[in-house]
Amino acid sequence: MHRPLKNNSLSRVLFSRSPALLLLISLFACVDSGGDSSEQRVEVVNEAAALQAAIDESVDSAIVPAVQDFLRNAQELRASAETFCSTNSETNLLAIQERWRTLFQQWYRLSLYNFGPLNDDIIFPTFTFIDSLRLRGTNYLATVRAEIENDIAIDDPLTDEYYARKTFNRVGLLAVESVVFETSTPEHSNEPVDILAEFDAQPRKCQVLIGLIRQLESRAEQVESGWLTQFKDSELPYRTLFLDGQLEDGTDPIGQLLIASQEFLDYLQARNVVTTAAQVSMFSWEAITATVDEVELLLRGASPASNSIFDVMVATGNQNAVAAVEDSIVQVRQAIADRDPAMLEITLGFLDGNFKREIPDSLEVDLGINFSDGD
Amino acid sequence: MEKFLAPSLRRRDVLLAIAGSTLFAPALPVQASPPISSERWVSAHGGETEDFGLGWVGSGKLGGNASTGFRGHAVLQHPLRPESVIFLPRRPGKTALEVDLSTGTVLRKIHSEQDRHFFGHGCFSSDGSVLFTTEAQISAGLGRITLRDSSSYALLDEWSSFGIGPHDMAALPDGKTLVVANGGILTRPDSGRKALNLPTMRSSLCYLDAASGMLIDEFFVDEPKASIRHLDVASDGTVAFAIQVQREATGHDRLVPLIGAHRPGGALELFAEPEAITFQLKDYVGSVAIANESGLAAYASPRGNIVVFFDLKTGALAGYHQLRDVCGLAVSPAHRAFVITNSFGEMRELDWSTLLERRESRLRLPQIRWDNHLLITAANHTA
Repeated sequence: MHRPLKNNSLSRVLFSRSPALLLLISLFACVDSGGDSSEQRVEVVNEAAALQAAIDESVDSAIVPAVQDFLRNAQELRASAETFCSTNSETNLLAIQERWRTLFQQWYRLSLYNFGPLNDDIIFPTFTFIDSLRLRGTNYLATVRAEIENDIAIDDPLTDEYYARKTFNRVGLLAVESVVFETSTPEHSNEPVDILAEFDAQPRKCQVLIGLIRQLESRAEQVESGWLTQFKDSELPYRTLFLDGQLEDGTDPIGQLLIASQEFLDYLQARNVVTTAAQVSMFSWEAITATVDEVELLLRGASPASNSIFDVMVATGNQNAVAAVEDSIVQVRQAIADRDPAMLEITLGFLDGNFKREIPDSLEVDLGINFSDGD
Repeated sequence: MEKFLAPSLRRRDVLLAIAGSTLFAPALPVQASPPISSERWVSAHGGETEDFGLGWVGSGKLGGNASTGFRGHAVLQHPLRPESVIFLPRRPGKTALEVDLSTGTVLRKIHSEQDRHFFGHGCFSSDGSVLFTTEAQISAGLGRITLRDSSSYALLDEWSSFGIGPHDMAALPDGKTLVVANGGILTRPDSGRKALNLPTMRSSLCYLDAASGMLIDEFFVDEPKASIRHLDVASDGTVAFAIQVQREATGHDRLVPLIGAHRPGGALELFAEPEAITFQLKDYVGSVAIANESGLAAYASPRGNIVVFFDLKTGALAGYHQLRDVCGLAVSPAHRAFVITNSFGEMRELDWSTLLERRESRLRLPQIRWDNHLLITAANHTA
């Protein structure tokens, strides 16, 4: 029999949610059944096992679905574009615009996990080809507009190879947004009738649309393949490397997850993303809502039966930290509801701070002394 | 909950060790390999007051560990007593130590004078008789270079550093010149590590006459909020330097080059390309080391989790290596390698020409949190 746990809340979480963890508790209790130190060991081991279970849950219920949904939405956008290009109608234009919005929202969920296959190269990381703004907060709208205008005007065949050669600041979600939400004429009209008229008058614009979307789809496939099939030259999927703690730079999975989250939240504030992203489609608030939804999914788990990060925090006596994070989330959502960019920046800062302090401290995650306190 | 754990061990490290040794496949907490030579790889370490210390690796394992009671920064090998090193405190420390690595004993304590504190770096004169350290004159907020007798540590003299916040310094191969990185940032012990002069800060790279302390020359970078803080000197006198940016004070979000070199007689050269690398350094490069044999300089960014390597002659990127929270950086002549460390107890070797990692040489000491700087002692001590 296992020895009774000292921490009742921990016991509740583990016993109600994971037979595997229960077995682990029992095994350790049997190994050493004497004195207070064995109780200590049981409790310590349980915490690590619970955290590992939460990481497993994060990967399979949040990260991998985000990757898969992004690919699926990219495929659906491509199908929608093909339909539109075969039957140019306002209905089909509105449908493709809606597909873009869905994909953009999905991107703002996936962006929380900007590591591994998304951030796979120091010089030319994949994420920049999807979202050029993310690199340094530079809005390349003028660049993509000029590029689209040029592609319509020239005679070169608009092949996949042609689009694959384009630099990151000429492709991606922003370029597709410009193609489907505005005309390429100097006035850049957002009126569907004007956009339809341009597609009618300029058949190459459909080739531009398909070419850009196929590049996006290709990047989404690459990310999915990296997570689930093979990551770079490792011969293993990134999912395996991540869960096994075999990341090349030695970062442990939970550290990677927390650092990536705080980096994205920091980016959203520092670059005033709500006022710079998706300004043609006017869809940035919804995108940031999707990010907050993803943060909650990551922390709470996919269902009440999940082994979540919040569960581990509660189980280790850090209810106050959980409450602080929840409070930040409420405040971010209120700023979004109020469409208040200044408050959004402030409240995202609170949430970013939670990922730097309350969450890692509660989980006893060490982000490194040089990283946090250099000289 | 923590009472059953040795204070220097993190709880998760302990349980990994427990799990490895009882239930799961064997997983030794320490997987040791080289150094095989008589070199010692020495660094300050520790994350909490009770486990601050000086650790060294030799012959593929932790060779020793001296408790210091305070956080250290740079370590210098004593040129006249090669078994000894000087353990300099992190700013604004007021006590340095001489530690005998052969016994692990603290031989001497070196105290800063009244109204002074150390900045964590120093160097010896070419004949080894003088210990130079970068220090602050607290009341005036001025940078000082303090000279002490390297045997008695008696104060010999004190010079201006010709700037505020002098940090790293080194002696040039000519034996007559010192180079000092004035970080430009004013701090005072009573306000901790807070920068007090961000609007007016100005960093410089200064060359001083090693005999008189006279200013020979000084150089500035264009970005006023860029703080030159670390450096290393090549055998031809080229100085490689590393910068950190006080981003909150810049008022812009432009990329600021963080690494560069200065050749004797030339202007400062900044290695700004490729921009993706500069971006990855995240406004902070914490250490630098030169391998003379390959002509490469290595620059470590713990915020970027990366070490980047540049050819000092061409200024071209030669490669990079990613390691979380990497900062310690030194060159091992015996291994013909760059050695890098991080605060998770890891040590890695990279061939100083090919930059390929020798994965079989990876070393991990989970109970050790290597601090910012690594010293590889010359191999002229007893084994």
